[in-house]
This record gives sequence, structure tokens and C-alpha cells, in this order.
Amino acid sequence: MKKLFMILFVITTLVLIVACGNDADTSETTDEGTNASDDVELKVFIDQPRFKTYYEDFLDGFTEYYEEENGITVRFQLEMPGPNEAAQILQTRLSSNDSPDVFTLHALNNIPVYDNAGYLEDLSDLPFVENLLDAPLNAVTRDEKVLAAPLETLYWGYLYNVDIFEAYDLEVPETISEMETVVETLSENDVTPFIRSFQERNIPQLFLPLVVGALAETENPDFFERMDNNDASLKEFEGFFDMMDIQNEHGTDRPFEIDGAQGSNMFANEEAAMWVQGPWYAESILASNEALNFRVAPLPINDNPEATLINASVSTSLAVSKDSDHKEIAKDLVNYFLESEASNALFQDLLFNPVSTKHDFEPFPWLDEAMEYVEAGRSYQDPPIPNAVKSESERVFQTYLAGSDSQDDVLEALDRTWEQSLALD
Amino acid sequence: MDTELATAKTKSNTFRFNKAKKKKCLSFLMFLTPAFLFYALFMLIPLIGAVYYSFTNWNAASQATRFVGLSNYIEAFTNDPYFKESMLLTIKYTAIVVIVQNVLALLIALLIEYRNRTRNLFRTVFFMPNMVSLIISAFMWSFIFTIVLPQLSEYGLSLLDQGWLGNPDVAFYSIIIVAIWRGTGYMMIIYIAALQGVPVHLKEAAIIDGASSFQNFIHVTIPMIMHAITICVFLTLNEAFKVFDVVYGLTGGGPGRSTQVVALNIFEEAFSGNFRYGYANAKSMILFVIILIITIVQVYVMKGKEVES
Repeated sequence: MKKLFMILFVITTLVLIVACGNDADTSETTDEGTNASDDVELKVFIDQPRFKTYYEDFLDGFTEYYEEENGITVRFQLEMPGPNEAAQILQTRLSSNDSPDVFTLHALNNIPVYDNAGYLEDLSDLPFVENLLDAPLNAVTRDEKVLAAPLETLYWGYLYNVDIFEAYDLEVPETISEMETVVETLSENDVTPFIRSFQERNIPQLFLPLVVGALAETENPDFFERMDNNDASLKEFEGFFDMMDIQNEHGTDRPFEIDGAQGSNMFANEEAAMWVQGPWYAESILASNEALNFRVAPLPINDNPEATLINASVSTSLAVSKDSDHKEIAKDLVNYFLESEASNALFQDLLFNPVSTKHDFEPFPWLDEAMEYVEAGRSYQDPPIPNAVKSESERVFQTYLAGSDSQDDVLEALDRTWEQSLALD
Repeated sequence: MDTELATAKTKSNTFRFNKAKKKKCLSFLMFLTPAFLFYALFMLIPLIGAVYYSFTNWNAASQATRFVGLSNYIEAFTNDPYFKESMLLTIKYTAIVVIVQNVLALLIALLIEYRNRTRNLFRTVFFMPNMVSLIISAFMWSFIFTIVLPQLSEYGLSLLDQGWLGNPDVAFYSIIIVAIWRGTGYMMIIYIAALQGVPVHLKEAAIIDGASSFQNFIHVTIPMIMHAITICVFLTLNEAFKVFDVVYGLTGGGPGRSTQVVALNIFEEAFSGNFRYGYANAKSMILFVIILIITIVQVYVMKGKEVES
């Protein structure tokens, strides 16, 4: 009996090995097949399913264009997972050698990690690079190599409802004391100051880049350097929780049952005057109430008006995989995203800001004030906080806002995760 | 001469016997092989892989994986407060779910057994939650918890005005409500089947001896359905320890980590934050061993209490 089981086991392993071997063989032969014919399939991975139709139309346009120019028919296998799962799925694909040819990543968060792991193709020679605006170009450049094409740039702090502010004669607060006055005036007039939407963990998480970014820019310029040497702590930032507390004390009800979609709906229906959230919700706000007059403003962190800054960041960017079988076509596609005539229309459809001199459309009305801040130099680049620390902050901020953790617990947990993430490389 | 013949005869007998045995064994193996192949392919080999990776520092991002010995296990036991908390929460969850689900299922089974005409209807109704996919029922309930119950509370049922999923103290019990709502029907079916197998003559004999219906239940019915109790406790214990989808669908472990069960803790260790696949594998090994030990002890103890009529 034992012998038989041994034999069976050996057979199973053999079958497995043979099966795996076969797999590799077949994939090689199909590659040759595609090279011979004029039909190429590109795997494209974009983590913005809400824009599915726009991207599909754009890719169809590329197929047409490419067939005319080069006589090659490009078909697309478009994968669009939700933003919550996207990172996991992409990471699994990359590590299992099943990488998409072109994929989106977060310029500031992911480029260093993926570049160290050797997944990113150098795009410096592509024509789009020369036309990029300075801020987005800096964000996608690492060691003087351009590793991704920026799509979505963000200028954000919090959103406020202009009509409510005007109705009570309120100025956009420049310091946290002024913010308290604003909150007081609103409360006296029975207007809820803030939307609280903490069900989606990444919304309270936004405080981390806002607070750390502004304070590191003004008070603690060598913070990240020292943090990388295990020689700093988030406890250095005084008043880390001040703004979070103000929001939490003067917000709408049932925060842990309200997600981003419901929050944007509430903001659109003027249930509160402010929402600590980026303009990436503009589209869904306008879908609920087209006439809503809102603006992006910099969030005050303390009583220093110079720390009241706009967070400027490049998030969604397109990268080409180093393992791609069709690198040249993939590169042409990335270039097409920024250089073609269709690019203007795409960026406008997706409500993205211009990133290239090729883009000749006006930014959105809600961004005009924020852009003034940026042009006046009152902005900072989204701080390089490790991904792991951000996801840890999602958890611990929720716990803090629910009243279970102390401020020290939160900062210690974040420090610990930061240290661990350094130990990984 | 005689003895020689006899030994030859027995030899040929044992030979024939061996041949028959071999044939039986072969057919046994032939029936087993396809199932075993699939089992090996999808369970055994990944399991071996998981054991291996639990000794490494594998994370998805870096391509260099190092062998780190037992340090993952040591960290899980000594330096991971969240793992400990989630383990305690899971034990609490398991204790409540195993007891309530089994008591409730047995109670419903008894009540249904006493009905004559509507028996089929009730059996179907109570079993129905089991036919909805768990993740869908989680979304259904999260709609009930966040929208329906707060609306109802406006009509005088102020007790219903809770942060069912948003309040860290209440969310745990919301999860238990959904888990029990879903799991009870299945256990009930097993109990009904067992109750039908209790020999009537034993009950009648007890009645003749003057036993009340409660005594009848405790001293006749319970021992006779002990085998079903063993199975049901085993199933609920096993399920409750591995609980993932209800929690994932209802609260995602939140607010904060207040409802993070072990399986979710492992999931997050692997697929968010630092993507520590190796460490997550070590933690799932620990969970596996714990479940293994507890269920073996449970089955061993309860098997000893089973009786036959």
C-alpha cells in the first residue's frame, strides 16, 4: 500500500512538471505566431473602472491609428479592477511573470518600489517627455530616467461649498484658528461644517499626506531623510491630530456607514459645507448636483499660514513592463496617450488636469483657486510615505476616529510600520 | 506426504487470497486516483508550498527571497499585537457562534419535527439563507443594517438606532447575527435527519416508565443524536475559526481593526501594506495547526459519548 501511494505521488508530481513544461512551450509558440502575422494583442491594466467607456473608445482610436500608420492590428485585453483590489492584482501578476504590457501605477508611491524590483521600462526617449510640464515630469523621473507617463495630476486639500461660504460671509481659512471660527459660525447657523465619510478606509487616510506633507515642508524639511535612517518619528509633528479632531467633532452623523459615493452625494446636496477630500470626486459630485459651486482649498494644519498648502501629486501614470513581448507597440501606445490629438479629448472626458504643453484646454472651475496657490509656490509634492504606512494609517485612523485608540497608539503603530517597510528592501 | 500436501494447499490458498486482495486494492486505487490527483494538485501541493514559504521572507515586490528559518513564527507569537488580538476575537466569535448556532438549530429542528402539516414549508424557509452566496447575503445585510434599520427606528423602535456596522462595540454582534442567520439552517437539516432516526420504541418505553417529555429529551433523544451533535459542532467549529467572507463583506474588519478576525488579518498581511507573503503563510500555518488540534480533541471527546440503540 505504502509503495503504491509513493508511486501515485510520484506520478502526480510528474504530471505537474510535465504540465508546467507544456505551458511554457505553448506560450513560446504563440509568440512566434503573433510576430509572423500582423495581429498583436496588448494586455492593458488600468485601475479606473469608472472610466471604462472612455478608455475603451480611446484604445479603439489607437487601433485605427496604428493600423493606418504601421499596418499592424492591435487588439486589447483590457483589465480594469477596482482601485481597492488593483494593487494586489497587479502585484500578483508582476511577480508571477504574467505582467500586463501596459499598466497604471501611482507615480509617487509605486515607481520606486517597482523600479527597484526591475519591472519598469525606461521611457526617456519617447517624444511625450519633452512636452511634459515640470511638476508631473519630476514626479515620474527617477535617477534621471522617465519611468512612466503621467495621466492624473492632483491638486488637493479639501473641498468647500462656495455658496454656503458666501451666504455666511466666510473667508477661506488661512490658519487653524480661522478654521475654528468658520466652524463656529456654520454651527451657529445650523449648517454642519464637515462631511464625515469614514466607511471607506482610504478617506480618513487622506489626513496622513496632508498633515505630514505640509509640516515636513515647513517645519521639518529633513524628516523623510531621517525617517529612512530610522532616526525620526511621526511624534515630532505637533498638532498632528488637531485638524482631524475639528472635523470629527463637527461632522455629519454615522461616519462609519458613509462611503465615498454617499459622501459625495451628501456634499452635492449641501448637507455640509466642507469635505476633506480631493477633486477626484468632482465627477460624482456633479452627477448628483450639476449646479453645485465648490472649490478646492488648502487645509490649514496649524496657526502658521505658510503651512496652509496645496498638495500637488501625480497619481495614475502609465508604465510599460520590462517583460513585455511587444515593447515597441506598448511604448507607442503610452506616447499616444499624451501626444495624439485624441489625448486632449481623453483628458477632458476623464476630468484630468493638463500635464503636457500639448494640452490646450482650461482647467476645471473648482481648481482655479488651487491653481493660483500652486502658481504662487504655495504647494508641496505629495510626500513619499511608504504604501504600507498609508494602509496602516487607514486602519489606525479609523480606530482613532471611532475613539478606541489614543494619539500615541496611532503614531507608534505608524512608526512601527514605517520601520518594517524599510527593513524589507 | 500428507503434511506436504496440506502446506501446498494452504500456500495456494494464501496465494489466491492475496490475488483477490490485490485486485480489490487495485480497483480501490483506480477509483481513488482521479480524486486524489485533483486533491494533490489543488490542495496538497499548494499546502507544501505554503509550508515552505512560511520559512522565507517572500514578498511580492522584491524578486529575491531569503530563507529566514523560524523568525516568522517567532514574530507571530511575540511581536504582533494585531495577530494576537484577532486570534482572541476569533476565539470569542467561535465560542458564541458554535453554542448559539447549535442550540438554535436543535431547537428549530425539534419545533419543526412536532409540526405535521407545515413541516416542509418551515424546513425550506429556514434552510433558504444557506442557498444565497455568503458575500451576497453580507451585502444584503449591510443594506439592512445601514438603511433599513435606521429608517425603522424612526417609527418608535429606537432600540434599532445603532451604528450596526459603524460602532466598534456593536459591529461584532452584527456579524454574529448574520453568521447565525446563515449557518443555522444547514445544522437544522442535520439535526432533523438525526431526530428522525431516534427509535420510537425507546421514547415509548420511557413514557411508560413515567418520564416527562423534558426527561425524555435529555435522557433518550440527546444520547441518540449525539453523532449528529459531533458532526454539527465539528462543522461549526471549523467554519467559525476560518470565518472570512461575512466579516469581509460586512465591515472589512473595521472600524479600524475592531472586527478583524484571524483570516482577515492574514489576508491583509499578504495583500496590503508590506505584502509579506512569507509571514502571512507562517500565520496561516499557525491557524491551521490550531484548528487541527481543537477539532481533533473535539471529535475524540464527543465520539466517546456516542451511543447506539
